[in-house]
Amino acid sequence: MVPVLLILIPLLAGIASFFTGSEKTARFWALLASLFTLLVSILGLTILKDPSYLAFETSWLGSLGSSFSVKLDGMGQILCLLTAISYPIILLATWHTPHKKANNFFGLMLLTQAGLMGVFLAMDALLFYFFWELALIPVYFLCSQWGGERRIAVTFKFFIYTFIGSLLMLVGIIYLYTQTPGNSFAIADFYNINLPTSEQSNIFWLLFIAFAIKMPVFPFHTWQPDTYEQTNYATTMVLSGIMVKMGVFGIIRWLLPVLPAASYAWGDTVSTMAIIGMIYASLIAIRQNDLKRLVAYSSIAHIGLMCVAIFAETESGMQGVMIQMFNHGINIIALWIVVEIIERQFGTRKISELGGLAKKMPVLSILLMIVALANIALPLTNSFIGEFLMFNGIFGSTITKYNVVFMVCAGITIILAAIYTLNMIRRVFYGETNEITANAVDIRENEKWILIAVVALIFIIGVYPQAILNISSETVNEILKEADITPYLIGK
Amino acid sequence: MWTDLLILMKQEMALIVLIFIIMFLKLGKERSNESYIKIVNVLLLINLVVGFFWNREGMLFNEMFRTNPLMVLEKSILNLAMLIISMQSYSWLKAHKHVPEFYMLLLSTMLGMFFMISGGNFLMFYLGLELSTIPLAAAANFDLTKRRSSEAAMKLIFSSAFSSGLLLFGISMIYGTTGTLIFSELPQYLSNDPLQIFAFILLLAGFAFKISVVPFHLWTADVYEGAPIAVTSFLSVVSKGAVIFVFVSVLYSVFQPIAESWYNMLFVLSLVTIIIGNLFALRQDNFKRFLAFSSIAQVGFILVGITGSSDIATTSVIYFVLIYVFSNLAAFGVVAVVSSMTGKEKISDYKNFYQTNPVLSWVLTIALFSLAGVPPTAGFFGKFFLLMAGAGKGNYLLISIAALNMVISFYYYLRIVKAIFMDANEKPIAKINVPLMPRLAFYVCIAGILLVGLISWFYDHIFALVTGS
Repeated sequence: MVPVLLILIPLLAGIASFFTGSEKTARFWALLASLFTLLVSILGLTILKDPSYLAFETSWLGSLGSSFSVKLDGMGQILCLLTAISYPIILLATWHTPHKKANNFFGLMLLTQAGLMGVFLAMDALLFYFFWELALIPVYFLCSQWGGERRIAVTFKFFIYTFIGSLLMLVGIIYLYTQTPGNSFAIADFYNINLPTSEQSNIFWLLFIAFAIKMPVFPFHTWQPDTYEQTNYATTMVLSGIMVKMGVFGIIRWLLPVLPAASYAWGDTVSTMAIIGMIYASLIAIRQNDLKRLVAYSSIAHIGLMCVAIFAETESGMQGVMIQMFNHGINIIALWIVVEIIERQFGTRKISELGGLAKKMPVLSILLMIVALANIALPLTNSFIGEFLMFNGIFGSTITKYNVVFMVCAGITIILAAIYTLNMIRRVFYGETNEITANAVDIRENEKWILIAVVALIFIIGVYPQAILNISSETVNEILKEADITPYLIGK
Repeated sequence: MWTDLLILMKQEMALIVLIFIIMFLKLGKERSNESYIKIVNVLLLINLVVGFFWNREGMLFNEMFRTNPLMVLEKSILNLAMLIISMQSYSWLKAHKHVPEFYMLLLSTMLGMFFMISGGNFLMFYLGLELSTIPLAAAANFDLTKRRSSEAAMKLIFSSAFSSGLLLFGISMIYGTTGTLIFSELPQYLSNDPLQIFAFILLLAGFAFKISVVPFHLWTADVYEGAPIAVTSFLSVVSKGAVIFVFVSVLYSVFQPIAESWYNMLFVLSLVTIIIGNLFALRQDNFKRFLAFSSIAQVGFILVGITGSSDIATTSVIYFVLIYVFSNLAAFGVVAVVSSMTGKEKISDYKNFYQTNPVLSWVLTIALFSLAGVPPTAGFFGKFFLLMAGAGKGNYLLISIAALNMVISFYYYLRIVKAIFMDANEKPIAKINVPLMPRLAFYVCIAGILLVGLISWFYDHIFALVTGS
């Protein structure tokens, strides 16, 4: 019942939210619903761990071989927990941000959450696609109705991009469906498909482009900085914290195990693309003057590393991706919270116009420092363990000949990340105050406590990552077993 | 014999009775338009309900007329569409001078369609087709004072006459080469004989005219624009739906022996139709013309499904028409209400529509999303099943191009959504009070769009009827 509740609570609460009256009611309602979702998600991890609670299946379009089948496996647990935790954080952090037509705004936010949960839980290709698209619709309205001046044009670009990807994926799914014995959409049947490598390659690209646009991987990333820049903060947090994980998740669950031979054949190509993107995005981030765009480009670099680690196909790398998906979500949301505080106080996001905040805002500076250090994966922070595992996995990969090259090139981006992050902190928080920053006051209570909570999470996971690694280890092994390419190599 | 006649032809009988009742009402004492509309709507509802009982399979008049539960369902879909259209055109009809005539014309058209669907013989089919065409041209002229309306009727009658000519020519050649016109006997005489292929092409052209497949689509936009909106929605939903039903069953049963030949033709036609329909829809500003071109693109998608030629294909096509009824009529309904209240029919007039008419805006948005094929609306499932049916033949070029065209269509539907919600406008369309009838119709459409997709019973039910289990 847990997975059904995870989808139903935000869905129903979201619909109900459209009928709430004042902004305050809508806000409380959304917070209540998201806390409830979080509770269910935690219960699923602790008390209701029995498999019978974590899976649900009922007939749906039986004549086509599809069913409404949802299940919480290890990866699903992590991502649903991320989705469930992020929402209260986002809502509380933006508690004082006014939204026009607030009931619609929070309704759409909750509907997005329902769609995201569905993506992470679906065990049926048709259902997966359904939720994949469903999550987009509320986001369209969120992006286009609340945000910066150029939001409408930017949202259009974002949407056309993702829609092209989705439809290519749809063609791929239909093709795979016709190849299953007895025509079925169930994930187990998809895993059993054995296609020759050449056919797999075609389908691989149909699916990969959809996921690559979502993540985004170079060269499909051009929508992302614009979109992050123009959307309002709460939406940006959902997009960058959770929604990009749809792409990573899609590759791990629906690409690697379904098309192992093609993943092997094209793994190096994809990794090269991802690494080019990482270096390129990091270099741009160094030159960025806009805080929002800086965080956006740094996100491209981080996601790129996950992509390389996935295609290394080692247990260590995959575990690193699992934990890093969670960490990246938490860290980037914290970064956005800080950027929002700065923009709200000073009316600008330009790094060149800011300076000397550390004197005026000591609490914020300390908290940001920790988050920033987590962003560049310093030991003791959560990202350290994730990136370490991923690098270890890339280095130890037996599937590619270029493991050392990949590792070295990806390693460069760590240095670049340190450069742009520390440089940003130096220019924004240290130095002399100017007329814009002279009258700064420190952060509000709600923001302080939220950031402290996030920092606490960063340290807890940094010190005791085993909690998350235990959840995902079983799924990782299953996926690596399905993705095993030995049968194909023997055939050659 | 008589019970057979009554039960097998119940829907046709019901329509005939309905037409006569309206005629007698007209002969009786003077009545207000409102009471006419109310009475007729109740009768249409009864007519719709009739379709759900006493369903049997059977034939009459030496296979001239045949029926089965699937055909009854197809007719019920058309009945439903008729009821929705009638409810939506309430405000327009209320001010019109000739309400009973309007209903009589449209219902005669429906009667023709029913005979066409049930026809077991090319003669019966042709008869039904003609009965469904001529009153429709008269109905297109129903905005009596507008010149454009007469122009539309003129264009409709000319193009219909031309396509009927092609059809007749094709039918006569089929008769010439096989010696029979009965559907069940034809397949055994058909082979890939060049004359028969030629005859088939003529028939195909006739069908293509009716459902406005490119390159036989040139009349569509002008007629849609000129005709009253009630008639336009009838043309785009009911009349297209009926011909598509017949087209599928004729292709799959009668012309099965030459399936390879028509597969290639449909492949080309569907691609051309989708692409041209989409490209022209991009540039339209008149809402009716826009819907005309978008409906051409939709028909292209239906053709993609038809190329599948399997039970799944039949199911997906019927299912899609059902969804198309809800989505297209919801869109047309909003346009009809706005047009009859304010006279505005341009897309640019809809800028900032949301500010003054939030409910209508949402109805239109959901309808457009459904037409674009976005989950969770039923339109998504409709398109998805069509693509799946088309994929049954393994032609992924067709499927990929069709899928990419969904992006284009998504773009132009979204453009309207953007106009409604986001574009600034000093003077948006004033607040509209929607009367009860159209409002009910909107509820039905929205419920259909949201439920028919999610509840898999509809698809499974149609599939069961198609496979006959």
